[in-house]
Amino acid sequence: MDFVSLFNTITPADIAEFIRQGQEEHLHLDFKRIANADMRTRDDRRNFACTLSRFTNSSGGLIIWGVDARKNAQGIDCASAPAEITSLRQLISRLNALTGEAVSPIVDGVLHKALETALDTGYAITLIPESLTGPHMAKLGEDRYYKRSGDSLYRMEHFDLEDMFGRRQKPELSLRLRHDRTQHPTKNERKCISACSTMDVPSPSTLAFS
Amino acid sequence: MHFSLLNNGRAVAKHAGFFVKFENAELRHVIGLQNVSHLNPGQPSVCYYDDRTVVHPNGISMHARHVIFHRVNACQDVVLNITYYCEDMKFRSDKVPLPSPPLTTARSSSAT
Repeated sequence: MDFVSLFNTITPADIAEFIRQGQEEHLHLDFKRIANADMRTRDDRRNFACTLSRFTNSSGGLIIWGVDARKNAQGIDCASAPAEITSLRQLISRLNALTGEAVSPIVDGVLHKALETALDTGYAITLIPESLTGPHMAKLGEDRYYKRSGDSLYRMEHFDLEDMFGRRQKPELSLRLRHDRTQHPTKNERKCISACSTMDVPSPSTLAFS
Repeated sequence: MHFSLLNNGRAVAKHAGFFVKFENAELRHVIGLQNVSHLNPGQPSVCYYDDRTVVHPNGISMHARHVIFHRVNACQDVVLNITYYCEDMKFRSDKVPLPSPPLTTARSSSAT
């Protein structure tokens, strides 16, 4: 399952399963815990800005807030314990407010979602798409460019930036289907039943015809 | 089934094309596309390729013609295995099921 589909379908039970199985962090997945839901501490703000910058400068990804990730016995960074967030709605509101300030230029399409396990308590998840307009600088006191490789954070070098600024613009093609459905009449019927539906084929995703 | 291409990117899409393999379908008419079923034994398939025009990133879909097909087994889904591509974009594949419509009788259709 790609990370966009995971963002759309994830439930608190899935996160509990990640913790139970010791899900590893990877190119498109990061676990974070926060000190305060108001995101006032310097560490929380910088953490958010760096992660936003590194995901959008790489190939996008998900941040799951409210999970403690530590190295396990084999030295692998993985989900180890829940660190559920109280005042979840406040966190979502703060994340929405900070998204516009955390990186420069602003990233389009960043989404935040609350996953409640109890009233106003639980996890949050952030979807960060890959940007076509990068590179994006982490702000909120950081003022550096980052990228992600594997489960690690790298400060971008001069040649990385040179490459990104000079990168050729790319097309993003999608295919649209329109199904005109006609049910031909049988001998005894006089009506021809017709229906029409339209759908997009985005990618990569799980599709359902509507 | 009508096919159209849309460019949501930031550069023109050159050499755009797609390939569609149908399951549980029989092609009746292929209009503006190439019927390549003979190259894919036993499986109805069509392809589209345009090396003369580009798809501009302007939010306007470019209609790439259509096919008329017949559902072989009325109770089963028709499945479209789609691959599409253009220059400077990695090819993308997806599987699109078209659910079989509910069976309609003359009486129920006149009621609706």
